[in-house]
Amino acid sequence: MRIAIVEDIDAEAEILSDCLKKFEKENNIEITITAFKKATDFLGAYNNDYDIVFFDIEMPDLDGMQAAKKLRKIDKFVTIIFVTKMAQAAIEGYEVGAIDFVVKPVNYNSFALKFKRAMSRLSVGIENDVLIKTETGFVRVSSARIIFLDVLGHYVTFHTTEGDFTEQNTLKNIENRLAEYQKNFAKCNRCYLVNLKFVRSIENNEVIVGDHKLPVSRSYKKSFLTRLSKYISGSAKGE
Amino acid sequence: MISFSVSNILLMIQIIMAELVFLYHCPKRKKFILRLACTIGLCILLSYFFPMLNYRNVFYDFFRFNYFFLITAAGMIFCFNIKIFAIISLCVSGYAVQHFAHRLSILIFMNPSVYIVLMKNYDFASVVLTATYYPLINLAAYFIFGRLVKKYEYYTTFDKLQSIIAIILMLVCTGISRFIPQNVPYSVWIATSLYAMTCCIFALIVQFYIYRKKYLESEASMIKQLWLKDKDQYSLTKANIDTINIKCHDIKYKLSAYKGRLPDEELDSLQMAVSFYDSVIKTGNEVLDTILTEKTFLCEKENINITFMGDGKLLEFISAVDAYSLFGNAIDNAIEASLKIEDKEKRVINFTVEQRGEFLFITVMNYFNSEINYYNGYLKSTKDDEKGYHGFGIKSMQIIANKYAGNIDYSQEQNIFTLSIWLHKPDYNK
Repeated sequence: MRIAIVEDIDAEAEILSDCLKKFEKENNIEITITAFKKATDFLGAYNNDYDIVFFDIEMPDLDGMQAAKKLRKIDKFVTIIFVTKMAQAAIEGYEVGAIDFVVKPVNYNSFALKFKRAMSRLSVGIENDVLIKTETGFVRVSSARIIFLDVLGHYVTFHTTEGDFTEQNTLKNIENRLAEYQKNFAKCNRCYLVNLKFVRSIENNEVIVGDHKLPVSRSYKKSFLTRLSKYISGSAKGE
Repeated sequence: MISFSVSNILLMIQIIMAELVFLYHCPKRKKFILRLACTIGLCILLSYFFPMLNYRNVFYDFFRFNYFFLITAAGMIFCFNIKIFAIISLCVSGYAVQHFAHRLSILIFMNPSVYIVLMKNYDFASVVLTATYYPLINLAAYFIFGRLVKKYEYYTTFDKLQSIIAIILMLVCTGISRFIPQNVPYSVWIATSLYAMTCCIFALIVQFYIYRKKYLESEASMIKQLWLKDKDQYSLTKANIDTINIKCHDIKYKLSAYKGRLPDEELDSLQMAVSFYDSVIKTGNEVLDTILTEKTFLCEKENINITFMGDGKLLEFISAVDAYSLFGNAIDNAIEASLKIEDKEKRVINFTVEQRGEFLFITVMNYFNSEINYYNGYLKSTKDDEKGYHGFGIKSMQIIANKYAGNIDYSQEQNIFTLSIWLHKPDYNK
């Protein structure tokens, strides 16, 4: 799992880093941490290389909240967690779709609870590249980059952040292949399997996934919402 | 002429079997097996020594059946730990099943040709029936009606009036049967048997239908009571907090006039003490703010740390009382679980609200002490004991969520409890 810490005070960055390392050990996962002292440095070098970004809110020049807004313009879905001295400052983190915030001085247990939830939404630690057999050859894509799948007749189309790929297969088979990663996917319709991470909105019986609008059928609505709810709460379990 | 007969014992056994079908799930007294054994033994003894008349007499029959019924009922009161009226009610149900079975057997076996064979070996036939046919009918009765006793906890929610009605119904039903003379055409037997069977089934259906209705009513009324309690509590709490807030501001203002006249340290500490309420996070939602403020003292004292992230204004469509019930419940539970954790550093509660278009997703997470299975009572959806208020937490929250076209889910993983609530926000405008 790739973590970025954007924090101007070294000591604070160190504390956060220690928490991450402790979490790493306790939960048997691998974390790589990259620290930035200035938000501008981080944004300048950004290339979708991180799973979770920690933004310190109280920073000179570009503060955490502003930096997050700029980040959202180029990456709508990366997980953001704020770090702040005052809880009140971070409440509006929802505006940039931050998942949560941590208050300084960082309490490890509080941090762990929030980090667990963030981690659960990423399904990190699982090797999940999918090999797609298209007409023109094989394509390898990470499950995390699949926005949604749709099935038409005997063909399944993978809509990913790197393009669309079609394979001759059934949705059922694909679901099995996604295996452990499945808890991040849910069907909103008989022929659509959606990656819950990319769900932006549900309105008028349609779900907006990435830049696509997909219909939510009545028979799938309740189960879809339940799965989405569990996903957001970080309590989704694989099936 | 008087003689003793095995048929009395068989009748007694049939009645006891049928009554047990309905009493099976009821709370039992101490040393139940012993009591039951004594009861059955005594009843059988009394039935054996009950005089038999060789000729048919209406009043004798009527008296015999009701005498048997009464002593079994008394026996059941001795064995089971529920109200007397409830026992009598359920015994009447049992009696109805026995009578139904008896009448049905007449239909099946009183066919003139079969009758002749049976009369030759009446006692033997009766024993065989009691051992096979009656248990079968009782089993059917259990699956249709008996199970409902547990499901709707009839022994706590019965009604005196309906018991009386049921009793009268049964006495009438069985009493009238006695008036049928012995030597009537088979067609009369068929007719009266059908009437009796219908009457018994009818009595059972009415009895159980009323029970079910009463149970649902009482549960709904309990939840409503809790809701009203929350409503009052909310008004009171909010009024208190508003008053205290105003007073605090007054004091803060007056204190600032003392600058220079009091040592700075003192002034600062006074200011800090008075701005206690200002330090509570403002979620943007009045009800949430009230709940969190209400819990501030307790949380400070017990080192419980609650963080909130989300747009409180999104929750405005929920009525104040519903919001107070729903979130108050969720937070109360998280706090109570936190209190049971020894390590004060682990007393953290995570509260977030996220939006996805028309839907809101609320998450409340906390650690809990896995050694104490705290969540047992909270999660059970039926009444736990006579006191009855346990377990309404999740259920009442679910009712509120359903009211807003949403639902509730929870999960316990290792030592983390996660409550997920999703709601539909009406009038969504992009």
